[in-house]
Parts: sequence; C-alpha cells; structure tokens
Amino acid sequence: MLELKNVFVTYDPNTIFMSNALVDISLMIKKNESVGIVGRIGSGKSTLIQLFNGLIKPDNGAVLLDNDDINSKQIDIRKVRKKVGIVFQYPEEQFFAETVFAEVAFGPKNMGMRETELKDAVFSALKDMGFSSEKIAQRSPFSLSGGEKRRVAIASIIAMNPDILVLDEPMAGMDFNGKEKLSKYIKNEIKNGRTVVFVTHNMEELLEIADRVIALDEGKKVFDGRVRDFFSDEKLIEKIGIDIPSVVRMRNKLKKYYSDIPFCRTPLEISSYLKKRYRH
Amino acid sequence: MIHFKDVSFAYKEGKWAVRHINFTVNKGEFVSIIGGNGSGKSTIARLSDGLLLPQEGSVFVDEINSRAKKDEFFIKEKVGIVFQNPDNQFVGTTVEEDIAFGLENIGVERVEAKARIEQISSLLGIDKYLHGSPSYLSGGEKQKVAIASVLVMQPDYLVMDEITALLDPVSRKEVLNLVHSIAENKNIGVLYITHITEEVIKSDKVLVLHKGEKIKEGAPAVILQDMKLLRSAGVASLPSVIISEDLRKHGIISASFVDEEDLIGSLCSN
Repeated sequence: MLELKNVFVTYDPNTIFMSNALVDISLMIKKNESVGIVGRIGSGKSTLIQLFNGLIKPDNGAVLLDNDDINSKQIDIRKVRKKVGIVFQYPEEQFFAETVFAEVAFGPKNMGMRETELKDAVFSALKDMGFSSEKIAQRSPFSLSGGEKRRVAIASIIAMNPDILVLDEPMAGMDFNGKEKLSKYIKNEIKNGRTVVFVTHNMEELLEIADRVIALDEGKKVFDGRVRDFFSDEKLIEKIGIDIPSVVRMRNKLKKYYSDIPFCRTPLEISSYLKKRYRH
Repeated sequence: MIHFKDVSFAYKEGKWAVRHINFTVNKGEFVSIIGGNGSGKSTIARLSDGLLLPQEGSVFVDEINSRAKKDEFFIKEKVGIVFQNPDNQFVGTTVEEDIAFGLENIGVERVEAKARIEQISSLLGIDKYLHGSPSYLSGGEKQKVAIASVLVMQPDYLVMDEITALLDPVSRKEVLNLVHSIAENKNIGVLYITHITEEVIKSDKVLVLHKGEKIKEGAPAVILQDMKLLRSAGVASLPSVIISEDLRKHGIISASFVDEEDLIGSLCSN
C-alpha cells in the first residue's frame, strides 16, 4: 500500500522562479487498484508519480510504502524501486541493449536477481506483454515496431515484478492497433492482481482501464473517486479541460429515455444493454 | 487543384513508403487522409508541396509539376504545411516575428506584412499574444501561431499533418473547427492528415491509407460506417457506429449512424 500524507513539492524554492508543483496532496493507493491520474499539462501529474518511488522528495509531508517512510535514512531505496516500478513517457527512446532479452533483463539484474531466476522473469514479463514466442528475445529492440517497442519497455519494468506498476502516458503516440493490444495486456495485469497507476490525457483509455480517478489542477487534488462519479461532475470536468468521452455522453442522453441504463465503459456495453431491453 | 497522379515514393530503394497514389484536392475542398502509424500519411504531406519528389508518377499544383525546378517557389507559395509539433517550427523571439518570418523571406513590404499579420491573428484569436514569446503559449495556442504563419503567406492550399496529435481534447476540437471555418471563408483547399477517426466527420471526402496504399476513397458517411475497412487500416471506429452496427445485426434499428444525435434520436423515438 502506498500513501501520501500532506505532500508539498516546490520547484526553485526561495527564488523568484519558485512555483508550487504539488500542494497538500494526501492519497492512498491500495493493493489491486487501477488508478488513472488526469489533469492538464503542468498540473503536477508527472511530479506526483516521481514521488512514488523516491525520485523526487517532498518538501513537506511524507510518502509511505507499506507504512514505511520511503525517504527516511533507514530505508533501502532500491527495495522501494523494486516494489514501485515506473515506466516513463516514450520509454523506448531509452533502449540501449543489443537484444530484447538484455534490455528486459537489465533492471532485475541490477536489483540482484540470480541468473537462474532471471531467465524466467524476463520470459514471463515478455509473455505478460503479449510476446508468446521466445524468438523475440534475441532480436534487436531497435528493429521492432513502435507498439512492440513500447511493450518491451513495459516488460522491462514488469520483469522486476513490482507490486505497483506506474505508467506515464502509456499509449502516447500509438495508433489504434497498438493501443488496443497494450490496453488488453494492462487490463490483464490488473486482473492478475497487479496494482496499476497510470497518467493519461485520453479519456477513453481512462474509462476502459481505471476504476478510480485522481484529478489534479494547478498542483492540487481536485477529485479522488470512482470513474463514473468523475464523469458525472460536469463542472469539474470543464474546469480541468477534459472532454467527456462519446460513450459517456451517449449513455447520459439515453438515460433520459432508458432510466435503468447502467454506467457504460465501452460502446458494446451500451448496445448489450439496449439488446436486452429490446428482447423484453 | 493539388493532383497526385499515380505517385510512388521510397526513402530507401525497393521499400515503397507510398505506392500508386491518386487523388485531388480542389480549392475550397476539405480532404482528409486517415491511417495508422506507418501508413504513409506524412510522406504524402511532404510530397504535396515538393519537400519530397516522387520517384514515380507526378504531383501537380495548379498544373505545375512539383519536379519543375524553376517553379519550386511557386508551389511552396501555393501550398502551406503545418506539422505535428509546433515547437519545431518556431524561429522568432516574439509571436509577431515568428509569423512575419515567411513574409520577410519573400520580400513582402512592412506595412503590408503588418496588415496581414493583424488580420490573420485576430481571425485565429491570437492577436493578444503577438508581442509575447511563443515559448509561453499552450500547445493549442502554439499550433494556432503555426497556422497563422502559414496563412499570412496567402496559400491556396493547406496541408495539415497530424496538427492536433499533441493537443488536449478541448484545444484539439477548437483547432479543427478553426481550420474548417478558414477553409470555407477563404476558399482554401485543405489536405487534413490524421489518425483520429472523429476528426474526418466533416470532410468533403476521406482517403483511407494502409501500408502506403490508398485502400478506399469516399464520403465520410460511407467510409466511417465500414468498420471492417477501418480495422484493416488500423483505425478506430466511432462508438456511434459500433453501437449501431451491433443493434442493426439484431434487427433493433435498420440503419447505421455516424452522428451520435441521429442514433440517439432513432432509439428514443420508438
């Protein structure tokens, strides 16, 4: 379990450039949750996730992982980073290894994983990200397609088997096919018990993957709750510059005539409801 | 008219990026190209104003072949391009200088330049930023500055290469609406390149591109209802179409709807 207690982050303190990146943020991420973090560019999303594994330290407040303050001197930060794995934006831009295997093995090896376990960890992580054939491991990561590269980059974090997988804009720059695949594998991770936290601008993605939303605006937490409640708060949504996804919009309009229509996350959930309705 | 006549282009020999492409964009017409990553969309953008020259076939702008060396500037003046990332396109220290850059290069007089800049920037709603630095603008505003820099050159055609890809959803809609209204008011032909299905709804015609080939061309209503076609091109279908197709298969409605309101209307009337 990850907890932030009254966290403040200030950039360039005591200078004229001083700005508050995060103001008094408290939140808790429990095991097995899928949380989407939303907000405008510059609202503090990326700063927030860098607190999760100690890449940034709060100026005030505390970050607790399983009840330990991760920034205290007694804590081995490497253990924190093994538990909280962060995949940054466009992670494939940082590829360096000659083979996919070496790329994915780099993290767990550094964390001190033994050779015997290493192979299993790498292949299982690649399998999690949809590479069923082991042949991929010997290819150069640079020879892969954009979508494949992204999934290899995520596998390299999953290979460390983190309790919490944090993704910063995992679908950025991908086309429909790539997104569809990646979304499937991320949902599988959640189903298999991994806690997933992701930053996104894409509301369809949020709707499909997240159970809970944390919204930031100018460094403050302005919403923390269920996805369905988030999309019904129209005032807030407008304030933080978010577009209501077409599925939610259509469902809300249908609700005027079909008062028992449930909250729907995908177009097919809407049509399934209507099909049931018309059968009776 | 921009006219692609059996155009093929390869960056590397033997590896065609686009192959046998035919289409036209008339003045005042809004033509969209949709396709997934690697479909050849951006290559077509660069071929349309002579940034790239085809190895086979020809690109004509108002009947001038883009290969004609002496008419290079003619084509560059007729066709303005805006790219995905506005940050890569800034040259000036103020927004005004930035917009003026192209005009100075072709020797437009100061008074005339100033008048054009004022007119276009108020049209785009960026006149209040003219004396500020472009680096403090939001993504949407930056993209409007990039569009303004192209419009002051008074082109007859605009090529937009995924100009909304890096914008948030609200500015994305705003910029697209702006392009539509400019094209209409100024009788400019637009070639609008995107991978976002929603953005092609209001086009006059849509080209679907896949692995460098045009696999279909037609009215948006026809293209957008063809879920199979879009899937094979690696493009998402509209939620309204996904719902209507599912309901149509089960005999609940008789037609497929691109427009959300039409779908809701048909479901709520009976």
